[in-house]
Amino acid sequence: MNQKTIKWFFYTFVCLSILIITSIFSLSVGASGISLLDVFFAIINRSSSLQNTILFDIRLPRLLVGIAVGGALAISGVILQGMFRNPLVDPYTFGISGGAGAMVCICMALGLHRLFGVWIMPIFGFIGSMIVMLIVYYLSFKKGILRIHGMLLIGVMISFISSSFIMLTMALSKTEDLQGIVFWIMGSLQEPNTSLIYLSIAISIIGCVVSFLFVKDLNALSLGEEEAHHLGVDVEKTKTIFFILASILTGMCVSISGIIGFVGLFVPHVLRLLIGNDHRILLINSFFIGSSFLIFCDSIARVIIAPIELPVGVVTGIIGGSVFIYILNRRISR
Amino acid sequence: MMIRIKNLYCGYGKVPVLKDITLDVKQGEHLGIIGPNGSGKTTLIRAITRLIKAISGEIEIFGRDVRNTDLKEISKKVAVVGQVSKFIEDMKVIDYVLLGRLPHFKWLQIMESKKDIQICLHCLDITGTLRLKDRFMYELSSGERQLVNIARALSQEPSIIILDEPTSHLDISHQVRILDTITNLIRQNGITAVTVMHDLNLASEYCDRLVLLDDGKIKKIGTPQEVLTYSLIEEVYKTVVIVKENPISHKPYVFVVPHVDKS
Repeated sequence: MNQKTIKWFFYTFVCLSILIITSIFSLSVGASGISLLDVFFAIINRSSSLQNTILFDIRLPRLLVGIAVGGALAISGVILQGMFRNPLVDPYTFGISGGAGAMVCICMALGLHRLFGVWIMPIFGFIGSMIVMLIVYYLSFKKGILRIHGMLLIGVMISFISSSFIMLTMALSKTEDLQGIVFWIMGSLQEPNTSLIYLSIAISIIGCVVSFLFVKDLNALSLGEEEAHHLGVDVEKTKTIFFILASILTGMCVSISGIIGFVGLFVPHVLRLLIGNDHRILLINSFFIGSSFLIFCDSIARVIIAPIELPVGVVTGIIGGSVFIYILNRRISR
Repeated sequence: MMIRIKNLYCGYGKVPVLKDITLDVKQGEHLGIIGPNGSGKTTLIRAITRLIKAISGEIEIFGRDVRNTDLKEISKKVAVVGQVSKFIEDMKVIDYVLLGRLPHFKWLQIMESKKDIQICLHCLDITGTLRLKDRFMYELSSGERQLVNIARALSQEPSIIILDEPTSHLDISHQVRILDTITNLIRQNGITAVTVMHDLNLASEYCDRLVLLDDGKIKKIGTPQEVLTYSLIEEVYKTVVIVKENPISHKPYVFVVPHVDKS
């Protein structure tokens, strides 16, 4: 085993440890404080006490959503930044979140969530994100080539159009629906539907595995499309796979938890700085750190003004944004 | 024959950039492609490496039609030296060179083997950049980057190396060092090189044969003495020159004649 492999194992061990520690921290903090020891005993001895109900029926589902959504957003960020060779691209750049947001707002404004139940919202969100994905793909695919710079511009424009739709829907909504829309847009890890929680975990793990299968091609793409072609990579096929993968992952995240900013932009950036640009190590560890970051922010959101809960998107924005500016400033002055 | 091109028409739209190109490249030769800007030099390289599709005509590498050859198989035989990407600034030199081993990776192989590392170190050694292996790409000068770029191409273990203006923006010492490296590779390893060049004098000194392109067509193929003539250069480049013989190498040497208004 060479030095690089040992170093990468160490990085992965550290990142996985951070995820485990953040998860235990997240289970133990909240309006009703449960000590770390109680968390440990609850895990090995599952009884029907109040503590266990809080842990396994309220906090654990939230934790699982945090792992799935944080990991998936970070992976999408790594994929898109690598594919576009642009560190400022994030999963929301293509208007996928906007599409999902607009559809969820329409669903709420029409009162469909009251008619069919709240599970209809993620479905609408996912349909919205997939519609945007198909529009962006269709408009960017010319003469057998997926033109990624055109794709970026089209995505940004669709994002603006979607934002206008969201604002229009909010302006036309009833007062009782308005708060729901605002809270959904700001993001939350609360998901009452267990099947959707399992589905989000399955999608994010599958996304992680599939992207890992093409990770060497992503490394080659970071040299440029022509160079990747000269290294034997089928560039158009790879770009299409990565775009669809990132879209599905982002669509799933937005549908389940609303628009949670900065995870997809901030996590890959920090990790590139700490462990390097090689996607073989970046991808898996972005999943762990993305999950950890979101879980940590959610824990802060739950306790900082308890018993009132802050939207997690607000916390990721403040923490992620501040750290991002600090890192960017350091890089510029280097 | 390493590369055989027959009646090739190709371009970026319906209008062909290259028209009726017929060309053979023999093993162990250094073929230079010269011509004015927009004459189709880079397009020819892109066609050989299947980056653009031919409208009509044939391109064969090792006797196999490139259209029917797997891209990975081509990249094991043909390496291209282009410009160094900006996004890999934070990458270490050895990691950058290791990317050249990608065509040799098996489908589920994630990490490079000991053999891959040995090959890359050897390629860095050949290009005289082994001492830079642990440096970051952003720490290198333009000349060092181009040498590392050649090492990456060599790590693909190609039989043919294609270089697109490898000496542009470099000082005279790095120009000579890079072209000496290529010449040594041809002589010692039997590699075939195809180089796009703007500097006619370097092309004359280092290439066995030259292809002069003009408006997408081959104007002349031959030895530097046959191609670099006063009349051909003036006709194709629309520039008045004087061609003399280099007293040491006996190759043609092109002098430009400035047309500055002295009044």
